Amino acid sequence: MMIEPAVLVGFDLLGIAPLPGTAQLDRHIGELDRAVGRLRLLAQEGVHAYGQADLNRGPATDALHAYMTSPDGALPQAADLADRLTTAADGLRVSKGVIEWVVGPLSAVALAARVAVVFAPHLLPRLSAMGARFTAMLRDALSRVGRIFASLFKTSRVRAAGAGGRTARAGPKPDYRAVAANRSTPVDDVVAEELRRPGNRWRTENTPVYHGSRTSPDRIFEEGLHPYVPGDRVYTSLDSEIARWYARGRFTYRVRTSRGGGFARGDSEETVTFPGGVHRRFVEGADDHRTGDFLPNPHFDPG
Amino acid sequence: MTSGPYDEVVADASGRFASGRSFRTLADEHADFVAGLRGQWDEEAPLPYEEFAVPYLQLRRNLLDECERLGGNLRYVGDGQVFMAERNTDAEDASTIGSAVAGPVQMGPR
Repeated sequence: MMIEPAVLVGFDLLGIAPLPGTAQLDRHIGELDRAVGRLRLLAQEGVHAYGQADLNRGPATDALHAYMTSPDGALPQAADLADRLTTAADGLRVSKGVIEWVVGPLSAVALAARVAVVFAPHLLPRLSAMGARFTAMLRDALSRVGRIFASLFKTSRVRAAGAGGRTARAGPKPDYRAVAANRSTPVDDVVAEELRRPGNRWRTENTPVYHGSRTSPDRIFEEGLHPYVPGDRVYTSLDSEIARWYARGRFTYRVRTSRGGGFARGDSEETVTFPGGVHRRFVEGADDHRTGDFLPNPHFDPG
Repeated sequence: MTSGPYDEVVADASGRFASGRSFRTLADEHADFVAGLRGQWDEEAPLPYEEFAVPYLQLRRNLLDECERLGGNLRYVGDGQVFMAERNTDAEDASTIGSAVAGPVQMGPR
């Protein structure tokens, strides 16, 4: 991210410290992403290693299984670490987005200051206040990301034993595509993966969840929330503030179902995932962070 | 999988040996990986803002420590599987003196 010398002069006039570059963020994101990839591979290979002793039956095998599916088990621990590293990398991505976003209006104010100093010096205090406001927004945003990092210290929550692996489940199998944006897209793989994660459960409660995005409501209200890759899942949060970070200054979508749906993650207090995305009729509306308005979805009809 | 009383106990020592060896290999590979991270992850913050940099670097140190503990857990599982396999083999040898045993051994009521 290069900032033109003329802008730097404007920053100086306004008393604003130059914005940091994003190259270091990119380096850290790359390092975290590589670690996530290694841990995910380890979790997969661990499942294979564990499966090699699959013929065994009896109390010793059950004791091992209880350990392996507990929060202290090696494989849940690998998955938990991968998830927390992913969240840390996402926090860095959001921070990069915030810096790249704020550099635009801040540069405009700085250039205006350069002109004002010659032709309209009386405007300088106002421009200075604007610059200070943008800088404060940046610091506030980064401090919130810092708080998310701090929250990731927390040890993984106690996971319900036997939520994955070999333990039998009672009751009818839920319709895992009940909320999907497109019911015809197969989601078996992603559902199986969610079921394998210790502590995950299919939600039956209707608490609203939130998804941050820069995609416009016109499109989301028409098409619903689709995963980036067909057949994958859409991530949402019970905490609208967390979703707001992913909105990067644009829209936070509120999702509300009438009969539950979505996987509540056992290793994250707030995350709820929807295999195949979310159909438009479950999107209640969007908070527009630029205007502060709530935009209702005309197709909202959770049934 | 039943949780007891057990109407079927199956001991597959070769499966346990294989599983144990695989976990030990994973533990070795993971130890190399963590050593690499320790060398690679420096203490330089990606942004010069304290409210961001301090929790980020603390988090990274914390995750790195947990990665190291994970390696210990992988080795623990591997050692446990091999130990159990050895006990299974001893039990098989004791119960089938003079005859070779191949494949899983089923114990308990048929």
